[in-house]
Formats: sequence, C-alpha cells, structure tokens
Amino acid sequence: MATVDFRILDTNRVLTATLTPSSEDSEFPASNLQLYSRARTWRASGYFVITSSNNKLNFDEGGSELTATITAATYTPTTLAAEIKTQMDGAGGAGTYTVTFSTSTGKWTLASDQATFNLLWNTGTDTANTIGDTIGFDTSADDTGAVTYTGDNIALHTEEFLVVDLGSALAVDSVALMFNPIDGITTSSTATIKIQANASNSWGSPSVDVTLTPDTQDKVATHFFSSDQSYRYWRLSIIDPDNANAYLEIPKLILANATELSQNPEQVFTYQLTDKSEIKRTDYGHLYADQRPNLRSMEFSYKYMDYSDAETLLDIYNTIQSHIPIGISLDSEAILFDKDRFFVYGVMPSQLGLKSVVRDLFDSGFKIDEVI
Amino acid sequence: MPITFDQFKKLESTNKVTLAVIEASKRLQGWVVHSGSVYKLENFEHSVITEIADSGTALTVATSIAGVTAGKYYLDRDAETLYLRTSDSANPNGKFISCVFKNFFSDSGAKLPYDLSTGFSVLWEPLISNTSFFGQQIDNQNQLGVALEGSGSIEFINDLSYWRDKFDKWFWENKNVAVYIWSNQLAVSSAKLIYKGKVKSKAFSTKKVQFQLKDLINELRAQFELSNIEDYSGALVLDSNQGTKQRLVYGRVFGMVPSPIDQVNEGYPLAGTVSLSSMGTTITGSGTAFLTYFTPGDSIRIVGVDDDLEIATVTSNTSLTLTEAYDGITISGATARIIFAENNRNMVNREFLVAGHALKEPTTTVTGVLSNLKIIVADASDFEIGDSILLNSAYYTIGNISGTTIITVTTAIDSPPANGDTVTGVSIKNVYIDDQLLLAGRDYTLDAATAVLTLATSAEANVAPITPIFGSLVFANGSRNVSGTSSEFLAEVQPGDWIGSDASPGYFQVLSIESNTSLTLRTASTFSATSGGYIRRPRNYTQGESTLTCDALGKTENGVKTGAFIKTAPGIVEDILKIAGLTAQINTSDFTTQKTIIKENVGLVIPSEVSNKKTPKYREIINKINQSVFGTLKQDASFLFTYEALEPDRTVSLTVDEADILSWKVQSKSDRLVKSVQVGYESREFSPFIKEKTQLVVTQSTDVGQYLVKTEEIFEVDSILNNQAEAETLAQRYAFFKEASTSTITFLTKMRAIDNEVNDKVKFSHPQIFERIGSNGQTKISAIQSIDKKSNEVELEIEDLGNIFSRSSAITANSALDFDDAGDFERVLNGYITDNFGMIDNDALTSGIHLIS
Repeated sequence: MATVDFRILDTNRVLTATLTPSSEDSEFPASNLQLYSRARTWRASGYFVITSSNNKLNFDEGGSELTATITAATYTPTTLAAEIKTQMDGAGGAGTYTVTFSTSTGKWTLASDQATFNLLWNTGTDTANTIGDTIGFDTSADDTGAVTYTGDNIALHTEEFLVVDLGSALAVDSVALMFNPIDGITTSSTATIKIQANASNSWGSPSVDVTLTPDTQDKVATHFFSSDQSYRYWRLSIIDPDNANAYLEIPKLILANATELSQNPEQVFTYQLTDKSEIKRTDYGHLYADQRPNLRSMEFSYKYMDYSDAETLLDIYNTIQSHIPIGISLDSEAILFDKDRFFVYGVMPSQLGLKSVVRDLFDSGFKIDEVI
Repeated sequence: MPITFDQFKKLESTNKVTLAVIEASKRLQGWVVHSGSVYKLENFEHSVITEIADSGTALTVATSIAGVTAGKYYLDRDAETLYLRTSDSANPNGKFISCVFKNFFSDSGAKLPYDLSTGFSVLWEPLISNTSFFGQQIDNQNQLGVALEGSGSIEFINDLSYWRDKFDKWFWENKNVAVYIWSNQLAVSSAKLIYKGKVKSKAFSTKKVQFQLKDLINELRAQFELSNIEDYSGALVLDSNQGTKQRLVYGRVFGMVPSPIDQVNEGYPLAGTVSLSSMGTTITGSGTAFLTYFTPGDSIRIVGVDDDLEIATVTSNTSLTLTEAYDGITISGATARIIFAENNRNMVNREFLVAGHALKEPTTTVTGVLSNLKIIVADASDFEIGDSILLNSAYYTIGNISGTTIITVTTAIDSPPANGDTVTGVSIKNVYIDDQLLLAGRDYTLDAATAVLTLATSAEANVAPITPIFGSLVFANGSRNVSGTSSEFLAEVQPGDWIGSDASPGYFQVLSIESNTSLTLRTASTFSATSGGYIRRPRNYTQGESTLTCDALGKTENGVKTGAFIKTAPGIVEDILKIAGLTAQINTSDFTTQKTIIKENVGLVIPSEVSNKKTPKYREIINKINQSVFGTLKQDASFLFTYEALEPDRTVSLTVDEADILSWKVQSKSDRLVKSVQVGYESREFSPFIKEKTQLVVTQSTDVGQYLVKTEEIFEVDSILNNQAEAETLAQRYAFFKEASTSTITFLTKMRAIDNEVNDKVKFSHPQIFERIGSNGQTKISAIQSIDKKSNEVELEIEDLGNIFSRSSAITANSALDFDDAGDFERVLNGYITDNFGMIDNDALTSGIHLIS
C-alpha cells in the first residue's frame, strides 16, 4: 500500500499577512479572511478594468452613430456608471443618460431621456472593443426600440483579486480555498479561480499560477505543492462576472506551510459524517426534520511516535489548543483517496495525550471535528 | 426557486434559520471637525442606525455629506464615517449625542439584507445558540381579554471577541428586539416575524450571553400618566386635593363628580390691589370686586400687614370698612386674600373641571322638518333619548330618535327651524349639587372645549325653596337698599339669602341686614316695586361637604369637542394605546372595523373616583373594557395591536391531526363552572339620592353550575356597560361560556401553526381523544388561548369550544348536509336545532345539539 502524504495545516500565513483586495463590500471586508469562522467572508463589491479593448460604446438617438469612449482606468461599479454617463452625455447627442448598476441583480441599466435610443452593440463602429460584454449586454445584436435597456447578463467585474503580502518570502506548500457547507460553493461553475505567487507585486507572469477547482461535494478547493514555494506575494484571482448570486464571495483562504510528521498515522483511521439535523417523530411515527449540515470528523492514532514528532505535535497543540481551527489533509497527493474529501477544517479535541510505550517512543492520536 | 411560506410551513423536512435584530445604544464621542460646523466620527462600526439624538432630540438623516446641515447626520457606510452637525452647530463633543443602532444575529451565519428586503447585506452574526419559546396567551378563564405578556429569551455563544467590548459598554436594556425564522428555501422577504419586544435584562457567563425579553404588551403594565388637577391653568385647589388627577372620560358616564378648581385654601386670592392708611378704617381697592366676594364678618389678609383685618361693611366694589382702625404702617397697592368667615363662601367654588380634555359636543344640522315636534337631521348617531339639544337658542329634550336621522322632542319647537340650522347637543346633563338638579344655561354653563363647568351666581338660589316674607318690601330700581313695612328682617332674613318681590321677577342676594325694616343687597335692584315678597334660602355648594355630579359625554378621537366621539369599547382601547405611546403599534384598520362591530353603549372615567391620586394601570382598564364586551386585545402576525370580540365564528384556520402532533395532553378544570354570573352596569361615582357610589346589576344563573356541578361560585363582572339589555346579554354570554367547556388541549407541533394567533380556531382530531358532549367523534373545534413559537416548533393550548358550537346554531350554506347525512365535523361546524327536549329524535346522545340545515 502506497504511503499517503499527511499534512497538518496549522499555520495559515493569511492570518498575519497584509491583504489588498481589488474591491470589498464594507460589510464583508477582506480582513474577514483573517478570522476563523467561515461565516465571515470576503465579498467583492465590483472591480472593472477598462482598457482600449473594452472602452467603446456606440449608440444613437435616431440619427447618426454616437460614440462614448470610456477612460481607460480601474473602476468600481459606481465610478464606472458615472464615467459611462459622462462620456455618453458628452458624445455629441442631445440626450442625458442614466447609467446604474443594481447590487441586488448585478445588472447594468442604460437609459436615455430621448425619444429614440439604440445601443449599437452589433452594428456599431467599435464592436471589437465594445464595453457591452463587460457590462453584461449581449453584443450579438443591437438593442433597439426602447429608451431603457438592462443588461442581458450579470456583470460584476472584469476580475477580482486578493493580494496577500507575507512581508517577506515565506514557504507555502498547501493552499485551501474553503466554502461554507451551509451556503455551498458561492462561485459559479464557470468561474476561473487561480492562486498565484511572485516575488514582486506584479502579476503579468507570476512564478506560481495554479488553477483551483472547487469540489462541489466537499465545498473546498485545495492545492498541495510538492515542494515549498517561497514568495512574498501571493494572489487569489477570480474571474466570475456572471455569478448568479450577484456577488462574489470567498469564505476562507489558507496558505500554509504544512507540518508533516516523520511518520504517518496508523492506517486504521476513522472518518465520520455527523448529521446535525434535529429529527422528531409523532406518536404515530410521522417524521419531521430541522435540516442541518453534515459535519466531518477524522480520528487518527500513532504508534511508536518518536520523540521529535511527539514534541512537534505538542507544540502544535500548545498553539492551537482546541479552539483554533486547522486544516488536516489525509492524502494531499490523492494517492489513495480524494484529496478534498479527506480534507477537514476543524479543531482538535479538548485533550491530547502522549503515552510512553518504549523508551522515547509514544503512542498518541487525536480527533479533529469540522467547524463552520 | 423560492417557495412560499405557506408551502414551507407544511414541509416535513426544512432548513430553518433563526434570525434576530437587537438594537443597542451608546454615547458618541471623539468627534473631529470635518468642515465648518460638520463633525465626523471615523471607524464608525455600525451599518444601520435607528436614531441619533442630541440630548434626546432626534436628528434627521441626510442623504449625502453635503446635506448635513444643522440638526442632520449622514453615515458613509463604505468609509465607516459618521458626519453630524448639531442643531445649534456646536461641537458635539460638548453634548450628549446618543446613537441607537441595529445588530444582527443568527444561528447559522446567514448573510442577508439588513432589512430582510432589498437592502444591503450584512452578516447576521452566528452567535445564537438557543431561544426560548415566544408566546402569546389570553386568559379565557376570566376573559380578561388582554393577551398576557409574551416573554422569552435569546441565548448567545459567549464569543469574547464579540461580546468583550459590547455587553456592558453598549446599552441593550429596553431596546427593540425582533426574532424571525427563515430558510434558504424561502425568499428573504418571506422571513417570518415570530417575536417583537424589548430587552428586559441581560446576563453574562463564561459560556453564554443571555437576553431576557418582554413584548410590547408589557408596556400596558405602566400606569396612566395624567396631569394633576392643580396643574390646570388657574386652578385653585385645596391642599388635600393636590395630586388628584385631571380625569379621562370615555363614552357616556353617569353621576360623575367633576373636580373643583375654584377652592378656598389658605384664603382666596383677591383680584386687584388694596391700599389703607395707618390708623384708618377704610380699605380702598383698585380693580377689585369687593361686593362680589365680601360679606361683613369676613377678613382681609393684606401682604405687608401682620394681622387679618375684619370687615365691617362692604361699601362698594372698591371700598371696605374695618371693624377696628388699622394700627400699622400705610399700605399702598398691595395684593390681598379673602379670609371667609364661617359659612361665607360667596362666588367661590363655582368652577369644576369635568375632564382633562375636551368633551364631545354633538352637533348636526337640520335637513327637514316633519312637525313642531319632529325634525330630520343629518346624523343623530351621537344623540340619545333624554339628551338636551340647543336649537336656535332654545333648549329641548329628545323624546325619541328614529333610525339615525329623525329626532322627536318633548316640547314644541318655538319657531320652525330651517334646513341647515345647527342642532347642538350638550356635553353634560343631570347636573346636581347634592340632590338639587340644576338647569343648563340658567344654573350653569359648560365650555366643552376646556371641560370647565361654571355655576351661575344664583344657581343654588334658583333651585331653592320659596318662603313668603312677612310684611311689605320696597325695592328701588338701581338701589341696593330694601326697606320693609311691618317686616321682621332680623328674624327672617340672613346674609346670603335671596329676596324678591311678588310684583316683579328677579331676586337678589342679601349682603347685610341692618334692622327689621332695612337690609342691603349685594347688587342693586333692577326694578322698583312695593309689594309682598319672598325669600330663597339656598343650600350653597359647600367646600368639603357638597358634591356636584353630572352625566357627561367623553373624549373625542382628535381631542377637540367636534371630533369623532369615542364611544365604543375598541375606540376606548385604541385611545388608551395611543396614550400609552403605542400609536405606531396599532393596526388602525382593524380597530376601525371593530368599532362598527362592537357597538355596546359604554362609559368610563379614569381614575374612577375624583379623590384618586393614584392612576390605574393601562392593563387594568383594558381588562375592564374587554370583560364588558367579551373583547380581546392582542397582537397580530405583524405584532400590531388588534381588537376582536370572542364570537362563535367557526372559520377554521388550522387543522391538525395525529400526523402533525408531536405530543399532547388534555386538562379539565372545574373552577370555571359557576352557579351564576352577575354583571354590573350603569356605574355612578356618586348617586345624588343614595349619596354613594352605585351600580345596577343583572344576574344569570347556569344550569350546569346549579344542577350538575352544584357549585356556589358566582362570577362577577364590573362592566362599563350603560344599557340593561346589553348587560343581560353579557351575563347570558358569560353564563353560557362558563358552563360550556372546561377542557384545554395542549400540543406540540412543527411549523404548521407558526403564523396562527390567539383566538384562531383549530380543528383538532386525534384517534385517542375523548368524545365531546353531543358527538361520537374525536374532532374538536377549539380556540387558541396560548401559542408559543420557536424557530422550529410551536406549542399551542386550545380551549375546547366544541360544546359551545354544538349548542349555538348558525346559518349554514344551502349546500350543507342534513343532520342525518352530516359527518361528525360538519355536525360540530354547522349547529343543528334539536327538539323541545334538546335532543334529536329523543336520543340522549344528541343532547345539546342544535339543528339548522
């Protein structure tokens, strides 16, 4: 039987790093990622990069084509709406335009005070570098016949990112992007999620550029490097503009240099799912349930652990005790098991013991219970 | 796709989330100048502000920083900065700026709009570990009719990173709390409010933080806050009466005692000023009315003079003579008080405050004349038979009212009124001083706007017996002197008597008697005559001994005399809720409807006796009102106050059977059964003839209580009803109710009952329940008298009303089945009339069932 790669993600470098998000909702700031609870999330508020490839808006008021050229820059939804309005109002037409972004639907609306207002997504001069797709309009056809148009698609951003500045180059070998089992995966299935790393805060061609794929069953996206990656800057990049939630949200990110003991736990381990639902029955057997999520737990034991490993385990426990969650990856290389299924974000038990069995060899073990 | 809440509550397996919004408050300090008089507070952590106030005065919210003018604030939520400019543009650091803000909690860490609608999302902190049941309960045992306070508690995990700097530094006490249940299967707007109240107390332990809660019904435990009688502008109140209340009057009340506000305490203040010289015997007044008040023998107490000075004669309104020369220093322009001699109380005790608010003064207009006794008016609904009405300056008494528009008076109308003429009712009538009935206009006047009743100078003389006087009297027009021939004034006449001439109408008060043939009037005669005469010796209102009583109309909805008359039980309860500061919590449309349904003739004075210095609690009065009409004050699903009368309404709003009931029990109580019910009505604070508080009583006995249970218990209702027939009806209803059922069923169910309320009707069936009287089935229709809700369960206590329904008939739909064909539930629901012996086909098992089909 092959040997699995057992990792204890006990030091999350995100907790002490400087975080710089592309955007953040003030109710759900990126600093929430430095808290333990997965209920405390980073929620982006919208970030748009306008360049010469997406800065044109062709429209007319019933006459000749008018063109609004959006200044190349980065925007929030509010500032982009204001910029589009400014450029449309100044495009040479007679109209005054209203541009809004709905935070509840994630859609953009363009409106004119003129009797005729057409958006020339398909027949305009600048279809190759239109802003239409960026703000959620289907550019395969013009929008005509109305004076108010709401985007066909949700358009939350061009890209969102979170820069994690570790202060200096520090080793990272394990990445876990975790979602809340109650809310599920809050990115859409088409989202592009990457973890990147670089020596400088420059992301044109990062030294590490790994795509993360969330496991919809286990509500986590993990990546385990085969060797330490030592960089000062790490970056979580997400492109998910049409997220149906109308927001982009990340519950928890772990960048860890995992602790690996010199020996793995015994191959006999316990993996347990606990349904926290509350079930009641009537006298006649009718069943009612208050649904709660399944929570995972894994229990490991060690035989004849050497003193050095015992000290490492004690040091971990002295730090995290039973109230600081850590990640446990049973088989990070997925040699025997699904790496995501056997990844648990949980806390240690209230007691950890070592039993001296032979000279400096110890038996020990612990159970980790998943927390949300 | 979200499901509806109605669908959700019927599901057997659901994901339920408990949500709570709890307000807290704190003082805001550490302001720095933003620009000019606009200050800012950075790192402001609260996203949702309920109120910002400057020493208790709320500031208004601006929509931008630029909009922050005097008395406004603006929260830049993204920048976590609060901007504020005080009303006087002063530095807020020198003021007490308070902030009430909302805090959001859940048991699961939900991220939902703060307003559970379309607002921005917030993290509902995942700290709730448990909640109690939140309930409403009514006392069906005594039919008090006010839902009992709903109490409850919320427990939080004591996460020190959250509570460490909030538990004590923020003020949670008496702040609003709302608890909801929600599921991710529902739209956020479908979150269901299950409790709304306030924080009563808080507790902190290493494992948990707990808030004890009280609901708004608890606010009704407070006492009425009524102004003291001495606080009425210009009131002169005896020391011993200080602290008595300006009273609330509702509906039509009988024999109430208005509060005297013209009393003699330590002397009586004299209008104007007086002067007198050292060693002089004459007091000269300026702006005084000596003749109105003084009688020889009274004394005057002048500011600056050590001793009271006794009056020998009252010469004029500006001149008095003393019995002895004044031996002090000369006094000029001093104020003075009258020290009345024993039994001298002229022109005092003339004003009385009926209520601390305007009294209803009914008015309508003439729209037609049928005869000199019968007129058509626009609306006579605020008038009653026996009321006095004023029509073209003449008073008439209503003898009959047909419908709501035809008034018949008891005496012919002097001159035919024209359409559009105003008919004005009187706000008070049957005014008595002790047992002397006074006449409106002649003996007293009432200002309905101020509720002040003023006695005429001659009020008591007008109703005094007339005694012929010996000899002949000579009155001279314009003279205060009256001479007599063969008269014996010294023996027959006393100061304060009124004398008149047989030759001319009018009589005058005697000020002093100089001899058997000469006396002096207080005011000059208005005629000349020489004739026999008479004496009227009045029984004047005497402070501390006399009692003035009247019947009165009470308060209006808008507080002015022409406003809508508050005359129904729901109307009174609604007004009391407003007085209690709960205006925003009233389901106004419901009360409006109930005022048209519950129309019993009621009357109530608060406090009940004029001497009361303590006010009752809101709840005590509402209980009394509710008991009078079988009414109930409760909170609806939105936790707004609603009102309803318990009626045999059979609309079932909840059906439960063995598939829905997690556990259940039945309890029968025998203490509700009574021998008879006594209902008191037409209460009088003081009866002019019996000389004490009175109330009429009707009695209704119960067959079950008398013959089957043989109890001696009597149930007494002290009602606010005015009408005997309505009191009899109430007694019958109580008697019927109290012998009908004694069982309550308590059961636990899941979400099916989550949006039910007290008094809702429940169809309860269970294979193991006993048969009710008059039926072989196990189905009951019951009213909820207690409902306790949690986010995942509901416990109900239902009053078994099946027997009431089976004994009272109803008009059913044409499609209803005949009794023989009807199932058990339809028999319960419809009511069928029995034969003369209360049975169907002489079958004892059907006893008590009515048959209508």
